[in-house]
This record gives sequence, C-alpha cells and structure tokens, in this order.
Amino acid sequence: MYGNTGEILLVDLSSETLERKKVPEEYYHNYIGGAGLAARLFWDWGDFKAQPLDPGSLLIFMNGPFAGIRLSGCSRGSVAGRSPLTGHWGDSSCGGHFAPELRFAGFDGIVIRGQSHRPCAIVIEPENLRILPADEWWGLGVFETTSRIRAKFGKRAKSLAIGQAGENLVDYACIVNDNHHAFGRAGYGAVMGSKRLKAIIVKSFEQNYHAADPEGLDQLRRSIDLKIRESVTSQVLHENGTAANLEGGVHTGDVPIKNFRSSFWEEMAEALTGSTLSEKYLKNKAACAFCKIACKRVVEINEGPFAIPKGPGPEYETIAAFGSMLGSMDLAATCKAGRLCNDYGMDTITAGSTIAWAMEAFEKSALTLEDTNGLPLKWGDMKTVVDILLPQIAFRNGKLGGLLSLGSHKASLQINKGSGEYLTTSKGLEAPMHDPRGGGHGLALTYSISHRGACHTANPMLFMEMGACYYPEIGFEYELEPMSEENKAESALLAVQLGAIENSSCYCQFADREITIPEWVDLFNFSAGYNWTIENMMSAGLRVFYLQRLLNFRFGLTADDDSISMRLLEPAVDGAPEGVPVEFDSMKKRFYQLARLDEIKGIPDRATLDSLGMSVEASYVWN
Amino acid sequence: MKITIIPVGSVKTFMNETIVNVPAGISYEDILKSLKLPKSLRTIALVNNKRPNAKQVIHDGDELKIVSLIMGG
Repeated sequence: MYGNTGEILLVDLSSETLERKKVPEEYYHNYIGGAGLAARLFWDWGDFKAQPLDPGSLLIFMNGPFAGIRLSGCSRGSVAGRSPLTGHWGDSSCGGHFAPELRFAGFDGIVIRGQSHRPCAIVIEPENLRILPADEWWGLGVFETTSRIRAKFGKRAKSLAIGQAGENLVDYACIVNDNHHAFGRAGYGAVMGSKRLKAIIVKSFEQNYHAADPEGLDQLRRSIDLKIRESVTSQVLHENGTAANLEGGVHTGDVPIKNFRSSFWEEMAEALTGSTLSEKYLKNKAACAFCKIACKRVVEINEGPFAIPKGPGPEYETIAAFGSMLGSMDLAATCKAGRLCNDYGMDTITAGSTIAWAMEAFEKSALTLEDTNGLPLKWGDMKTVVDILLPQIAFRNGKLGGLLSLGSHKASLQINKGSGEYLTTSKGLEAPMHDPRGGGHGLALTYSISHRGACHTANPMLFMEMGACYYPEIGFEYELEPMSEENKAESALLAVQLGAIENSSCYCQFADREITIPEWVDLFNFSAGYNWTIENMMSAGLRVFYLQRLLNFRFGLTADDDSISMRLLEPAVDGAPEGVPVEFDSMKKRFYQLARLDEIKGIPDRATLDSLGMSVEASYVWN
Repeated sequence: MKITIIPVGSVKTFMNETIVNVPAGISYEDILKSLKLPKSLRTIALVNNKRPNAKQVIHDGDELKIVSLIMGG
C-alpha cells in the first residue's frame, strides 16, 4: 500500500491489549482516510447503543493519506466518535505534529475502546507498543503533562494530552497536541477522560513516506508549496495570524458581538485584530509540521491582570469567543483565557459561547444570583471569566460550573425560562465566530447540514462565499454575494463534497485554497495511488458526506435536526447586514432536492446510495 | 467631488487612507478598479458602512471602505 500504511492500532483499555489491524484497501479508496475512514470504521465496529462516555464507546484517531508528506497544510489528523456534547456522530481535526509522527511510526490511526481501571497512557514506538500507568500525571494540566512526557520520552516524542477538563468530563473538553494544537470541538477530551486515558505518546525512528509515485509527488509538492508560500493569504496569515482580518470581518458583519446580538463595533475591531496582537504581544511565529505559512502565534504579556509567560497564543476563534462575543475588547484577556483553556483542555469556541449565553441569560433573569452562587455575570467582565468561570467549569465546581460545563444547549434545557432563545447552535454545537448574516448566508445552510453541528471547517463554504475558491472543473465558477441566497444551495452541494475530501485527507483549509481540483486528484494518485479521476474523488467526498448522515440517522437525527438557532437567522440590527433577512428555509429545501435527501429522514434515497456502492448501508436505513 | 477611501484589515498592507477627487456620477466599482489592488486579494466595498448596490453612484463626502475577505478559523 502507498501513502497509507494500511494498519491501525486497536487498543482495548479494559483488557489492556494492543493489536495491529489491517484496514481493507477498498475502504481507503471509498472513504479516503481521516474523518471519512473513521466514520466507516465506526459503522463496522461501533456500538450505537453506547453513550459517548460509556466504556463501550469508540474513540477513533485517523490520519489522511497525506500525513508525512513535506508539504504545507497536510499534517493534520482527525478524531471521531459519538460526541458527549451533542450526543451524535462528530469529529474534530487538529494540526501540529502528531499525525505525521503516527504515520512514521507505521499507523494510519488508533481505535480505542474500553476503560482503564487506572489513569494510563498509550505509548507508540516502532516494535514497542504499550499501555503505561499515568497516575502521576492525573490531575495535571496539559502544559505540565506535556512537559513530563518530554522529560520521560525525549523532545522528539509527540503527544496528545487532556487536562483537568477532560478528566472531569466537561462536555467540551478537548485534546491538545504539544501544548499548542487542539482537537477542539465536540468534546473528545471527555471521552479520553472517561476511559482514564491521560495521554498518547508517539515516537518514530525515521521519517519515511512511501509514495506511489515519489518523483511525481516531489515535483507536485514543490510546485504547490511555492504557490502556498507566495499567496497573499499565506503572507497575511504569516504576518498576523488567523485573526489577521478580524478588523475586516467586523466591517462585513462576520464577527459576532455579545452573543450574536450586534454586528458592528468599530472600536473593538482594531483592538482585537491580528496586527494589534503582533504589535503588542507576539514573541514568535510557529508552524505545524512542514508548513511554510506559520500562522500560529507565540505570545507573552508581561504585566497587568492577564499577564502570561511566553507560550501558545490565541487563534481568531479564541480572540472572538473571549472578546467580541463577551462584549470585551481586552486583547490580553483573550490571550489569558485561551491559555487557560489550552491548559485545562477546553474548546474555546464552546467555552466562550456558553459564557456569552450565560451572560445574556443573567441579563434577562433566566439565570439568577441564586443560580450563580451570588456571582453577577456582566458583559465585558473578563476578570470574572478568567479568574472564576473558566476554573469553575474545568473542575465542574459549584452549581454554575456544573451547569456551564454542559455547553449552552444542555444548560439551556436544564434551566429553561426561555433561555433557548439565546442559543447560537446547530445540533447542540455552538456556532463558530462567523456570523452567517454578515459572513455569508450560505453558512447558515452549511452550519445546519453539517453532521457534527454548526461548524465552519466541515466544508469550505466560508471561503467559497468570500471568493477564495475557483473550481471550474467541478462547476464552481460562481462569484457569490455573501448576503444573498443566490446559488448557495448549489455551492453547498459542492462544499460538502470538498469538505469531506478536506477532512478525510486532513488538509488545512487555509493552505489548500491554492490547490486546484486537478492538483488534488494528482496528490491522491501520486501519494496513495488511488488512481482517481475528478469524478472518483468527488464521489468519495459525497460518499463520506452521506455516510456521516447515515450514522446520525442511526443515532436518531432526522431532517428536522438540520436546523439552526433563530438568533443566527433573524435580521441583524446594525452594521453591514442590518435588516437583511436570511432565506434559510428555501436554501435548505433546494439543497435537499439537489442532494437527494429525504425531507423527513434527512438521508439520501436508496437509489442514490446504490449508485455510490452503498447498498449494504442503505439496507440499514431503508427497510 | 471629494470622497475618503479607507482600507480595512489586510487591505492596509497595500494602500493608505486617502481623500481623493473623483468625477460626479462615478460608481464605487470604477473606483475599486482604479486602486489596482492585487487580484488575489478578494475585497468588498462598504459605502458609509453599508453594502452598496451593484452600480451605486458615489456622492460628495462619502466614505468608501475597502475590506479584505481573508477570514480566520
């Protein structure tokens, strides 16, 4: 086998066994790798009755075929399983250094089931696979855990670790690679915590990647890397990070303010934007493995209430979630909040959004001082967020910490009192920091049809609406108007296929904007030897999209769940999108027709599944 | 007539805020073309902080913001 190794590591933490297992070669051709292959393996091996935190649940880490190629953007990996935050199928991706190292160690993925009787860590070294006790790391944050891992296994070892939030089963706990990169969304840190799995350590001896056409791949890799390095987008991201254009986003109405209640705050735009972060706190730029963009920030704040030592800095999502969303323009506070979330191991999007929901609930008396143990929740009060709320959530301390550790959706169901009106979710997942009303109406559609819930990385719709993509070979030649429904359903159908390809090959959405459709096909063929045409590749993307929907159907979701909070649809009250309605229902109806989705069940019809070679899967859902 | 052109976000890398004289009846799209920004830099325009119509005419004293569309994740 080329590119992929064809083997995964199957771990049962209950019986403390590790087993090398071959994956059928056709699975790679049909489901690509990463998120797609994880969905396929769960379909075969998963227990649909097991709750996310039950010992019987599966936690699946999966590489794409490109991990290990010395090319910008292709060092990401996926984690997947039944989400503790949403209760249904989900996945999350992460850059950094773990995925290539896992490939170099001989594995395409790790499938974990069971529950250890004590805290443990999985260690993967060639010919030396083992489960170690990790009692001495239990209770530590991610930074100290990673530091001890490096002391024990050497600096070349790459790790995934959870912090206290994962141990305490916070529903949006994340998994952190080397302190700086996170499988952020949907709560897989809590699944690790439930299995008493503190860390996974991988260390290879040599960096071998066995390409189907090494010469062709090398030529293609150099040419793509040059385009990526020279693009305006890459240069902007390199200089000022992923928040480089936060200021621009405020002017278009893309950046949410105070729980998506406002769409324009000019003073905040300059205070929080990436160039301000560079000027005030940036110490170094950092990169994922083999990436020339280096959009990661390393920051230091020397004084003030939010002083932090030199270390990982915030991404755009973190800055907006702990800045504009909470009515704050204190950039230092966003850095401190992000740093705490990295150490506790918590998703910053859900954490910030849940706190924003709580602030609005408190303002409108759905939450009272009795609920908060006497703590007033006020917009912009970042001292309270940093010093009290985040620690309370991570340790599930007190009534309020326990409530907010559930995420906003379940917290709202718990308190009721009309607090559902303040949600900004789809399928129980908090929306990212891109407001569909200003960022692009197509986002409302793609948030709602995403298998894991409101998500901007499930597919490239955000980039398609802003004009960063042009794919004439597959019919995407539109110049979309963000604040309109025109051609959005048609674009979304391409977006879900491209998103499945991106997340199954585990390619970074910033870097891959420079890759043309023919180059995508060549990448798969030269690396993994899939021998695809464009049609084969797009069909694989569609197959993955459909399989993820079938999984969710088996978890009980239907067409009605392809919905989104009203807050994200109601006309904006200010800024560029003021008063412009989002025609959600008509976009969804059109998308359902184009994607041949049943309007009740929300899954593709039998003939469509048959045409993609999914007749067996169809028989589970169309009896 | 005089208008103010304000670069926002990443557009600042390519131009500074400027007050320019433009002929009466000019559309914002014509002004955008005259700025000769890199083709790969996708931008949108706001006239007095609102999205203009396709052929909206600019008036004396208007504020034209050029906003880049590179979004973070």
